[in-house]
Amino acid sequence: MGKDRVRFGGLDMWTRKAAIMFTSGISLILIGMMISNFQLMIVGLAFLSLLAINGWVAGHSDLLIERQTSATNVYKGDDIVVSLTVTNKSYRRTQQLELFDNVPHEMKMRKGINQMRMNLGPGQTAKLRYVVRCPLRGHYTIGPVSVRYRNAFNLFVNETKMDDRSDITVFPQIRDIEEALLRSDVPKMYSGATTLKTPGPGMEFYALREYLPGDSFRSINWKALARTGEMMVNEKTRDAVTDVFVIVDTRDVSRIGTVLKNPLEMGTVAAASVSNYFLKRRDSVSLVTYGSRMDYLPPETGDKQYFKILSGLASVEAKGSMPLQAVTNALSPRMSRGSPVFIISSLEGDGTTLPAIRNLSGKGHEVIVLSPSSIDLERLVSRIPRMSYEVLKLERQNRLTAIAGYGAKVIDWMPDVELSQALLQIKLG
Amino acid sequence: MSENEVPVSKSLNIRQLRRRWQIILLQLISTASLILLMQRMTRLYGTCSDSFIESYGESLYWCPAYEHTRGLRWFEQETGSLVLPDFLTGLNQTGEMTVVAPIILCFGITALWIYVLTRGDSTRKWINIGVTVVFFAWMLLPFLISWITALNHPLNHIDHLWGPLLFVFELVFLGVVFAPVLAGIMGIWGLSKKFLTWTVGYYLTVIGVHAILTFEGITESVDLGLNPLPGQIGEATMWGGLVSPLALELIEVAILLVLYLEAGSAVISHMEYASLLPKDTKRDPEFVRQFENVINGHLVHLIGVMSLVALTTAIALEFDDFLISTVGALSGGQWSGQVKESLELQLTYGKVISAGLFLVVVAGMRFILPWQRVTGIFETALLRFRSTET
Amino acid sequence: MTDFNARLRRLSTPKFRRAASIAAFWALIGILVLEVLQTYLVDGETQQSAYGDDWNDLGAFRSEINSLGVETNALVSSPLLLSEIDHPEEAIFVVSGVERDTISLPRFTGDENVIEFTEGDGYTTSEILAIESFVQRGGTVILLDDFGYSAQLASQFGLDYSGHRLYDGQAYAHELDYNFVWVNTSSAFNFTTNSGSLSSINPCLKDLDKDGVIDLLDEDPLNPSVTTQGISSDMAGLCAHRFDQATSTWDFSEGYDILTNGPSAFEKATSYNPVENRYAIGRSTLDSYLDTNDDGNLTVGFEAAGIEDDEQGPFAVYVRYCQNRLCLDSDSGRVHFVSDGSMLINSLYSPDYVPDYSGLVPDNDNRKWALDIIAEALLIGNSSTEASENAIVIFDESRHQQSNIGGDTYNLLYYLLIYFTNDWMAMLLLFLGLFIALEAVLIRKEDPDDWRHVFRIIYYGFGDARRYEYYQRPEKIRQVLLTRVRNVNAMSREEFDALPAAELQKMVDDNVLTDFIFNDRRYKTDELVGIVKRIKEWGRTESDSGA
Repeated sequence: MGKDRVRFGGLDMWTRKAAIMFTSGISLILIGMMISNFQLMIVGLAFLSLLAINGWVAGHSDLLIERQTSATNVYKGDDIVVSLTVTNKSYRRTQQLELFDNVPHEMKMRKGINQMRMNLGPGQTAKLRYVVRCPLRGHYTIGPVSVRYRNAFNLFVNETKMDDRSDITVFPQIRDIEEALLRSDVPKMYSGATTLKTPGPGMEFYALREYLPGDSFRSINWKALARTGEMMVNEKTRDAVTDVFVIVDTRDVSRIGTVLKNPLEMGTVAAASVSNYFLKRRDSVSLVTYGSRMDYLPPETGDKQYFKILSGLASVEAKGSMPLQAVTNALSPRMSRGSPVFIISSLEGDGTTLPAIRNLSGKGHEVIVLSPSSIDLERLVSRIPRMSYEVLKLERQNRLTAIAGYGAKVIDWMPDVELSQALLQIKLG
Repeated sequence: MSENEVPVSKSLNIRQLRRRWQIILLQLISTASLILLMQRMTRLYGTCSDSFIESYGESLYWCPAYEHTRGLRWFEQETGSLVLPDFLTGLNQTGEMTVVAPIILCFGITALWIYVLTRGDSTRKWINIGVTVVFFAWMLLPFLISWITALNHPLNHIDHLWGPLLFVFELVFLGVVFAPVLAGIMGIWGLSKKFLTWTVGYYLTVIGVHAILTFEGITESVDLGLNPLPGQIGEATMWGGLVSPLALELIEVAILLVLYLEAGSAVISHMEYASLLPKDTKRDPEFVRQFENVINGHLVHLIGVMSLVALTTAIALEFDDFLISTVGALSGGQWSGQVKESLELQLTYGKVISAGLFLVVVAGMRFILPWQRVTGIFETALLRFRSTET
Repeated sequence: MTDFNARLRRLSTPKFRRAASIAAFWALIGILVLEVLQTYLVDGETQQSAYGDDWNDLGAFRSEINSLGVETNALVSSPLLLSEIDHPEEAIFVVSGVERDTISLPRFTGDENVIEFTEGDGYTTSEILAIESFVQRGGTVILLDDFGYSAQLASQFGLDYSGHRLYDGQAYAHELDYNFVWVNTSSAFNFTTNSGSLSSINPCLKDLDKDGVIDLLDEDPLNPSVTTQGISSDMAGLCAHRFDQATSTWDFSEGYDILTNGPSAFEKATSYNPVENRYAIGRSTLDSYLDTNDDGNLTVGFEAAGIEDDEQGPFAVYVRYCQNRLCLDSDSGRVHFVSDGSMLINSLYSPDYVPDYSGLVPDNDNRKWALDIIAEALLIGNSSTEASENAIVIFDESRHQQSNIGGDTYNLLYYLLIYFTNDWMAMLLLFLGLFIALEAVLIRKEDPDDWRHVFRIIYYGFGDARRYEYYQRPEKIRQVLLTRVRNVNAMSREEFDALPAAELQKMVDDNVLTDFIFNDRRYKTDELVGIVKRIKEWGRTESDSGA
């Protein structure tokens, strides 16, 4: 959406061709002098005068460049239409320009192209439109626009970048899991739950308490302050029906698989879809991601929370090796009793998984473990010997069985199974 | 992509681009320069030295000059007859007409080559095999047949091998002159940068080798009979006293060389850009219009810059005269006196130094002359005038 | 303190170090260039220039040559250019004082030394060779120098400068002072003791029939009755200085009274050698002394007293070298050596040139001598008294101080250009330099990359392939089996560990698997495959039945 002006300045850079022409021009002249040959000297002179004359033409210009994008937030796999308008604001021809919009490598050109060669007369405008697809979740930036003047004989170039950037966030896709969750026994567990009498950013007044640093000024009860002389804040009840905790494993091991199919990608899609489902039901959803560090988004409801969750999920990357138990230990004081916990993890390479889940179950949380089958994803990218594969599978099976033994609902999510299909396993399990 | 697309005939598809007048004009400029270059080269480097000719008297002679008929005639005399007919080699013509037939041949070969290139892979393979088989059959079959049918006279069959071998030699004699022409035409019309630069390299090599072979230090020990270029550039009598006839020819060679290369590679670079564009943008009016802008600009630059380069080189070569007269006009100090009369200025060195000085001045002019602003204002006014008119 | 430490740390950063080394490099280069330039650009009085009009310049000589219709040229760079002269037999190269040295490189010698690293002062060896080759091709050289840098050049022709000042007890210009020494010779064309007069080699003196008209102007050179009647100075051309228009007589004198200014002299040993075609023509008197001890005084010494005495004359001051014996051939190259750099300066050449000295400078034959040489060198066709259009007199200005730094730079520029395109060693270096520059451009210079959008995702996660082997080991498989058994029976680790073997056997209820659990031996691969298959089956049935 930016609008920027760019001016060429500075010295032109010589191309390889120009440099070769210059050195060979000088060489021809000198060698011509050595052997008293006029032809060599004149060819050398012609080379040099070509350089001298071409130096006169400068792609010196004043450009106005404007970029528009059809969207700034998209779901994985969606297309964005980008249009660039370039106007020559000066009284001179721009001469031969190459324009290139720097599009991240992770985006795929669907239609049109993000570059153009142009030679704009005074006041002329050129429009460039292209469509990119965003197959990968994440935060991206389109831009800056690179502009390069290139001499007609490819002797000099002059390059500038126009710092006009458009930020694009690509959210994980949302799958429709309503039917699956309705058919499974997940939703029924919480239906009819009453308003939780716990403090939170809701509407209904709950209690007065002392002001603590970090509290919003808006929540200060000015009347109480006037009356008692002490800073008091209003605490309100939370509107949500239930707090749903979604814990997503973003450890380094979650990258196993292909770029589009790996535990992390499957996990973000699942987390986004699950959050979407519960938020729509006016439940509070909290998102916790852990990998190199833990990111905790407190339970909230509403569209804002939905957006926060999607942004959070858009930016996760596979990194680190934080144990699950560290996460659950840190979380447990903030978790309301009995709230359901979704753990989305391949469950690989973490010895604390079992005790962590056992603890959660023991505290009365409904734990649903959605585990993308890492070993099957690994199979997509490396050749695993048949026997190792079978033993690895058996080991994983053991782990899942053990978790199920603690009362958690476990879903073994195979790579080729749709999320909704996988969720149906809850009923079976 | 865009709602309104340009008609296919104006699109940037390679097939349509090949028919665009700008592209064809560039190719024609390049081809014309190539052929003119060849003609100038033959004129400058195609003769043997007078003393060499005299030493042969009336008999046929050959020196490694850049000309094909002399070699072929000499070869004909040495071997009896030529395989290639005279009308193909141009031997039946005289003077500059001798190159016509071979040049037409070059065009023919290029056309064939492009035709073969545009066929499918398998056809190309078959054509290659066919040509090879025919050639080898012609080379070996007569020999084999005569050898087998007349085993009693074992010594005579080797003659049958001579024909093809002589043919190869004839091709070499022709090729020395026409290989660069053929490669050049193939480069221009077959869009091959490799061929274009090869031709330039070839001509520079010819010039360099000729220069070395006619250098006094070399001719003292080995004299191949090449006619050296005059040591002095001569009196400037042409273009209103700007260039001497010899300088003009030498400048022409240099300019044609650059013009040929630049025009030829311009076509290729524009085609390359067009081929990079995805299908939908090839008919996008914005892209088409800018492409037109770019290529028109290129044409203007090519013609303008090249003329200026020719002019600059010519002036640079005569700049020493200007310097001498300027220094002469200065009041007679000791230094100006000796510079005015300095031997250096009258020899090549003076030419080179003053030419270099002139080029520095020319290069520095870009900082002084705001010509682009001037043409820009002119162009803006023109655009406004046009828009009010419509 | 911390401040100091911080500064110290900044000094040791790679960036700073890099910048410092680059700065040091350029400083070094700068010093070298300055050093070289300093040897070239020396401030000094300008003198002996053919284009100057001061009393000590050669302007009068040059303009007289011009007025005779002969083209004059200056050589501002290097005598290497003499190789480019098309008609050396009609060219004269005048060196009047070699005042400075110049830049030079080691050179190829062509003999067993291959390369010569040291160069003498003055002209470089390649320049000396160029001058020698000029003489060999028929050129004439006039070398006027006393204490300058021309010793190398002279020794190329076998002649040695003494390098000491010449004084004369009697034969000096009494009107002036002892610095102006007369060198008189009565028979300048008697080259050797027995050659007799060879005045006929000079067209201005050649008169076969002795009728007083030189052969060039004689309608009938063999008829002694022709008179000078009708001959004018204009007709005399280059010989006009020998013709007296007023008396209409020709001056056939073969002697010169040459006035020198602060001269030196040549070594006695080498100045006269007819075998090598070196003829000492002009000598100082018997009363002359060479200031061998350079004390500026005439010292007649007593050897015994330890005083080095000055050598006594006569000494050769003017030596003629001929390429061919006795210069009999008009095309022969000649060199005229005079051990005085100022012999042709304006105030001696034309005594009335500088009004201040008017009447002070005695009449002398310097002009006659110089013009005789010009005529002898340029009139080679024996058909006219006029020089041909190829005739050229070149003044060497390359070794003179210039009046301004611009002039010096200009000359240096030309010198470098000519030196590097003519001297073999310099050419080789230049060629190498060009080659390296071209290679460097080819290798180092890169064009900006072409812009292309590339859809590229490099985000593949591979598992740890090293663990695959571990998962094929019986111990691991056994562990997996046991965990499975434990899980299916919902036992804790402790409970399971405490389990008696018989119980476990019962739990497993499979002979093969039981054997596998208890029998720690080597298993073949196909055996293990079977076992794993069995474990899989076992798990399934058990869990199904257990659920």
